[in-house]
Order: sequence, then C-alpha cells, then structure tokens
Amino acid sequence: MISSFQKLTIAFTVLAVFTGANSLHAQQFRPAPNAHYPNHALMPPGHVGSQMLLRGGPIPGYFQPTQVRCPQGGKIAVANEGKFVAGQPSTLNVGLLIGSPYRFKITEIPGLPGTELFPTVELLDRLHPPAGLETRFPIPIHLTAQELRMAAEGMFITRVIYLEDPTNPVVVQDDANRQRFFDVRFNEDPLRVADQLGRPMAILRMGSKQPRMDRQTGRFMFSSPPVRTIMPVKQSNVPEDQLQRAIISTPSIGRLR
Amino acid sequence: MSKTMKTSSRSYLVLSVFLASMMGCITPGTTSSGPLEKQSFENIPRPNQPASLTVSDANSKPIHRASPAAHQQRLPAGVATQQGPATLPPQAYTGPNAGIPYPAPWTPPGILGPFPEDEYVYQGGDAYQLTNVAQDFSIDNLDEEDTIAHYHTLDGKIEIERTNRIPIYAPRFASIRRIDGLNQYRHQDHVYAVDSPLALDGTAQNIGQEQVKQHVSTQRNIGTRASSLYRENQKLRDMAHQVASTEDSQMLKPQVGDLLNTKVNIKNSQEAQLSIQQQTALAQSDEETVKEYAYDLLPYKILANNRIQTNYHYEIADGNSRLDIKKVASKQDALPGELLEFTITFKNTGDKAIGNVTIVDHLSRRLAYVEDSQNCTVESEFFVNPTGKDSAILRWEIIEPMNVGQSAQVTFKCRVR
Repeated sequence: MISSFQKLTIAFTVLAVFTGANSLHAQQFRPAPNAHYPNHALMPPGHVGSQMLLRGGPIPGYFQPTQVRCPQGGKIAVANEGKFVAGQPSTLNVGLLIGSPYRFKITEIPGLPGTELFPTVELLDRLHPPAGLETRFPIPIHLTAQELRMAAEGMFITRVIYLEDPTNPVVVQDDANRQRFFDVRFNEDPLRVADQLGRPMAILRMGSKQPRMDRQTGRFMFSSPPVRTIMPVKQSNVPEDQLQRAIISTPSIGRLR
Repeated sequence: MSKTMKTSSRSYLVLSVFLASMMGCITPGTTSSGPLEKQSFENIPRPNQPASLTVSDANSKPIHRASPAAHQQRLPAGVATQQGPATLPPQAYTGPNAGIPYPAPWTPPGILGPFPEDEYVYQGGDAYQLTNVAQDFSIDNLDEEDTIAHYHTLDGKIEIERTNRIPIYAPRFASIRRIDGLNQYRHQDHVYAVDSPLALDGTAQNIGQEQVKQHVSTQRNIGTRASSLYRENQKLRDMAHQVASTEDSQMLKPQVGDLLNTKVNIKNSQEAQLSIQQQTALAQSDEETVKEYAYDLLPYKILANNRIQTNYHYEIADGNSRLDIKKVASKQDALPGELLEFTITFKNTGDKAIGNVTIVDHLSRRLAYVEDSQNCTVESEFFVNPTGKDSAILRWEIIEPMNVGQSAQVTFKCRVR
C-alpha cells in the first residue's frame, strides 16, 4: 500500500522530470538571437529597395554605376523609355537609381540560340567613392553561362550582391572581372546571409519568364525607370572559365569588430 | 456698375494669369523651376539652348516667358536662333539622360571621413589595441593593418613609434546565389510549418527557469555567516595592537630599565653601547633621556623599511631619443588584382643614437605580399611571418644603429585581393 507521502514524492518526481525535459528541449531549439529580418530576397522586385529609400541619406536621385556582365558573345540591354535599346556585347555599364527595379534583356547567349532572358536588377544601396572615381568602381553583377542555362530550363536564380566586410574578408585572390558567389540552400535567405557577410547592394532575379507587357501600365518593364549612360570602363581580358568558377563552401559568418 | 465691371475685370485678370501660368507649365519654352533646379542645372550648358538662359529669369516674369520671341530677345549675339517651337527648358527631355552630376563625397554629420569604412582597406597606424613590445622583443596586441617601429635607446629602454594610417579605397564584392525550382518550393513550405510549434515550447520554458533562480538566492543568504567571523578577527588585531603600544610607551622606558632588554633583535655587540647610553640617561634630565631613546629607535624603523631594496640607480644621459616614421602608398584606390607599393620612411630625429631598430608591418588580409619585392636602403634582415588568419607580418631588423639625423627607407609591394 502506497502512503500519501509516497504518492506526493512520486508526483514531485514526475513533475521535476517533465520540467527538466522541457528545459533541455528549449535549450536545444531556442530561437536564434539574431536580428529580425522583415525583408526577404524573394520579395517582389522593388520592395526591398523602396524601403531602403526611407532610411534617408543621399540615396534618392543618385545614379549608382552598375556593371552587368554576361559570357562572351551575349548581348545585354536595359529597358529604357518603354523599349529595349540595342544590346551591348558582354558588358553593360549603366547608372541606376536605388530602389527602382530595372528590366534587362540578354540575347545571343552562347550555347542557347534563340533564347532570350529578362532578368531584373534592384539596387539596395550605393557606394561613396572619392570624387571622380564613381565609374571606376561600379557594382558588378556578373552572370555565368551556367546560370543562364539553368534559368532557360525553368530554374529561378536569385543573387544578392554584397559589399564584403573588409575586416572579415574571404582570403582568396579576386579579379576585377570575376565575381565570387556562394550557393545557399533552398531554405536560406540570400539577403540575410549577405547582410551577415557585408552590406547588400543589389538583388538580381532571373527566370525564364517571357514578356507579356501591359502597354498601358508598362508593368513588365516597371515603367522604365531612368538610367544614366556610362562610358565603358576599361576591362582586362579574363578567360571565361575563370568567370564561371564558383566557391561552393559557405564561409564562416561573423564580424571581428 | 463701375464696381461690377471692376470686379469682373479683376477676375478676368486673375483668370488670364492663371491660364498663362498653366500654359507655361505645359508649353515648350517655359519653365516651372524651383530653387533646387536652379542649383542643379544653371551651370550645365546644353547643346540646344543658349548658355545665357537662366531659370531665375523665367520665374521673375512667367507671363512673358510663354512667348518664344522673349527667348530670342535674350539670346546673345552669334548664337543661331531657332525657328518654330521655343527652346526646351533645361529639365525637358533632350536626348539620353545625362543625370545629375555626381556630387562631392558625402559624410553623415559629425562623422569624419573617409566614409563609409567598409569601402576602404586601411594600412598602418596602431588602431584598436595598443601594441606593446617586451624586453625579449616579443610583440603583443599587434592588430591587423598595424605598422610600428620599435628601437632601443642608449638608456636601455624600448620605445615604440606608430606610422600614420592610410585609407585605400578598394571595395570588393561577392554575391550569394540561390537556385529555386518547383520541387524546392514544396520543401520550403514544409520547413515553415515546423518552425511555429518550436517557438511555443521555448516560450513555456522560460517560466520554469525563473523559479530555479529563487532557490539559488536563498543559499547565498546562508553564506552571510562568514561576516561574523571576520569581526572576531578584527577584535584580535586591536588587542594585539594595544599591548604593543603600552610596551612602546616612551614614558615608561627611562623609568623601567627592563624595557631595554625587551627590545627585539639587539645584538650582543650593541648592548655595551646601549648600556652606556642608559648610564648617560641616568645622569641627564628626564627630557634629554627621552630624546636619546627616541634616537635609538630610529635604526629599528629604517631596517623595517623595504624601500632600499626596490630602489634603482639610473644614469640618464642628456637628450631625447626619437624616431620619425611615415608610411605612404602608391595609390589611394585599387581594384582587386592590382598592385600597391608601400614606402615606409623612418628617421632618427632625436639627439642620441638609437639601436635595434625594427619595422613591423601587419598586412591586412585584403593585401598579399609580393615575394622578393621588398627593398631597404640600409643593411637589414627581412622576415615574413605568416599568421593564423592568412595574413602576413613583415619585419625588418636594421642591423646597424642609427645615428642622429640618419634616415632609411623600406619599400614593398602588395597585390590587392
């Protein structure tokens, strides 16, 4: 026969075990104490950039030089005044406004005859170079042949270009005409990863969507925000295989100071 | 009647001015510029408009500006006038958008340049932790990007000098890529559904941890008994001090001769002197005796002082030792892959010779030292010490001492990563 004291002891023991189990469970699956990220790289074009305009500073009205590059042989054009002008071979240097989404057109893609892709580019922030060096340091957006092929096959490519934190750089030798990129998993936000590695500057979105433009609203071209023509910057000849090399491993995340 | 006509004429005048203003807004050849446009455009010459046309004139007389003839009257001599529509205003579409001229570098109020820091690579100086050099030449707190020089003075001391800090505009970009397909979208929805219940478990657990903290606080209250024991120790010290003070009372010393024998650590050889002084004290008055005994106590106090053991004797020569060191870069901006050449110039600006001059440069991880690119104008030994963070520490050890006024130079090249 179990006395009342023993019953009470058993009840306290069971309660203590449950409490300890819940404590371990909470420690193992507690939410990460990181910052809250209300934005996501998969949001519609223009959503994240328009919110950056609200932060103030000399961002509105500044034409940030941008360099869009595709493999040798392809042509790039940007939507301007409701139409695509003649494409530039391989490299296009334009000044874009922050926060406004831009529609680009890539044609004559090597290995994909007759295929046309229409990626979008959205600038999130600007650079502050010394006077006279604005066009020497554009924001590079380099597309590889692999990405163009995957986009033509139906994949959706999202790339967040970020300015690397100089106090915690990835120790590899970079070339001016080659942009490193890291692949993240399907459940990770590239905008969040880019923010942890540096300062997000632009978002590129590219799929196989074809234009079905509403001529009244110009929605496909986002009403053609103004662009600024920039003289091409002197580039060095870099082999194509170097432009397409990827670093698969994700670097360690964290700032030293 | 006259009042009615006056009112109607005034209304017509207001209406005509309003219509003229509206025509000025939509008709080519007129402007509706504000002060901002005046600042932005008045100095930009346009190919299809006279340079003398200013926006400020348009604001002063809006009605007359609607007439193309008014434009042509303002054209300077030698400029061909246009027939047909008036000259386009400065902000009208005149071809490819040239945009606003790039403004001067901007910095937030209260923040000195260069701004922002994440677009620059710094080299030189002694930022963050202050570098320290020990007597065995080991260096502590040499941060990345630091450049220092340390040397020995004639006094045997080690002095440290820091170079200036060089900002180099060298932004570097990378990108994060994500590839999505139809199957991957399904997985993504599944992950979101799992996240929500986990957050609720974590919230319930926080209450249980607060109850555990209260038990810990009660155990600490028991530990306050230690303070009572401490009071007892203080009492013992006070009693010992009081006993010692009664024995040391100078009033009792001349009257009770046994107190001399109670002095501790008196050698036998000194007993004779003490006895003589005791006899002298008996022959003198009480006041003088007190003075002599106070004098005898002085050696006892000096022996208890440790100051003699810690004193050092220095012979400091006249003059100062000083090393002036500066660092410059060949360029103020660089793209990845480009070469930078750094020059470190150092000079003995003091009035004494210095020795063991050593230049230490901790390169940034964005800079890779180009092998065999260093050069030193004086005889030296050069070392490259790799660090655990894939950066390098360059070190030049100058062999010969540097005389007063002597200078030297170190150059090396780096490739921007």
